[in-house]
Amino acid sequence: MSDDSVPFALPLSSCPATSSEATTLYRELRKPLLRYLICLGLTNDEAQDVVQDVFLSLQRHLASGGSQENIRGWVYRVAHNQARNRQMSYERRFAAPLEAAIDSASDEKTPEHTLLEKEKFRLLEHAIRLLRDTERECLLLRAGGLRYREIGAVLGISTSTVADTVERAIKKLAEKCNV
Amino acid sequence: MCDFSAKLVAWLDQELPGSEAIEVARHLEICAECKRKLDSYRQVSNLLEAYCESTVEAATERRLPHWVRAVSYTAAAVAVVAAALVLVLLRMPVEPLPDHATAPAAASIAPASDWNHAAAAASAPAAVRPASPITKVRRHRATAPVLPDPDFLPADPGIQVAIPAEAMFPPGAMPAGVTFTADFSVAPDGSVQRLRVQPRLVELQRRPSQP
Repeated sequence: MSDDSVPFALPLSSCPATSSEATTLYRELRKPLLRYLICLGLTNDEAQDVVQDVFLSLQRHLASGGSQENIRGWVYRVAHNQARNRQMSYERRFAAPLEAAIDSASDEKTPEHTLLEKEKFRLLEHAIRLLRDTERECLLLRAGGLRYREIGAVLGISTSTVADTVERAIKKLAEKCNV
Repeated sequence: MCDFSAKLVAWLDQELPGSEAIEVARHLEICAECKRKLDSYRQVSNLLEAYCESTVEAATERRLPHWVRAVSYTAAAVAVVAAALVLVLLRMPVEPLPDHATAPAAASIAPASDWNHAAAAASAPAAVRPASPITKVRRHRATAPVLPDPDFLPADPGIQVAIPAEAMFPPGAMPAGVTFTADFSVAPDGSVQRLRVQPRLVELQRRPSQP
């Protein structure tokens, strides 16, 4: 995930300011967006495809004079909807083996630390499985750095509902993870 | 339950209006229970962040199936052995072909229709192969190592083969940047001499004191 170059060709007729804005947003949001999509359950290839589609849509949106209010939320909403369309079920991610996620983070740690981290991740994953879809999505968007207002725009819920949902989800995770 | 407990996560995320945020901050200075809950919410948030990072790393890391790795290891080993065999064969002495011009011209050949006569004629001394000494054909010496290594100064001209760590060990078993070199020479009789496999750190500067 280290390639920050813009892979899509911008049409020559587009406004330079629009292309520049889309490029800036691409560089800023590509990695967080990829992380959100992968944590939702998409494979890396699927997530890359969605990100490509989203930023092409963004470029068309900006070129056609679309609203630029809460553009981050707009990007995440489009990505979120595309992810839901692609996925058969959110359960796909949480059916993946836990060891794959653990091994990648434990290369340089002591065995004791690795074991503790593995146990924590196991509890966390179990707790995440028990959350509702909205709670899980709110947490993942929050982990991606979105504000509550942006999360509400992505999921189509009010900011106060986001706050309540996040608070409820965090409490559930804290109880299940014995933190 | 404390009235402020429902606002702790929003306060942690800096989502509260200014006045409410100040109230919660003041409350946290005096309420040990809310302080403990806030600490646990912070730990869960950090744990979720670490979990997401690990998930992304696992998803983006290019992992080959086990059978592909096994085949690649085998192919790498076969390639090394094949390269060594080729070098050995290049060193083998070559016998020059016999000179046909010196063969006696009186080799009798029986008529094709009479196999008995042909057999009798073939048993008689016909073309006598002149005894010729085995001469060694000097081939070109093996040229420079496959991958020139400016840090390695062999005592005598030899052969150096670079072997990536992944060809001998599972991915991740060796630290990044470690490769191996196999140094050996081939004796005149074709045997491999002074075979040595040693690790090499890429981009590590040699200290003058090292041999």
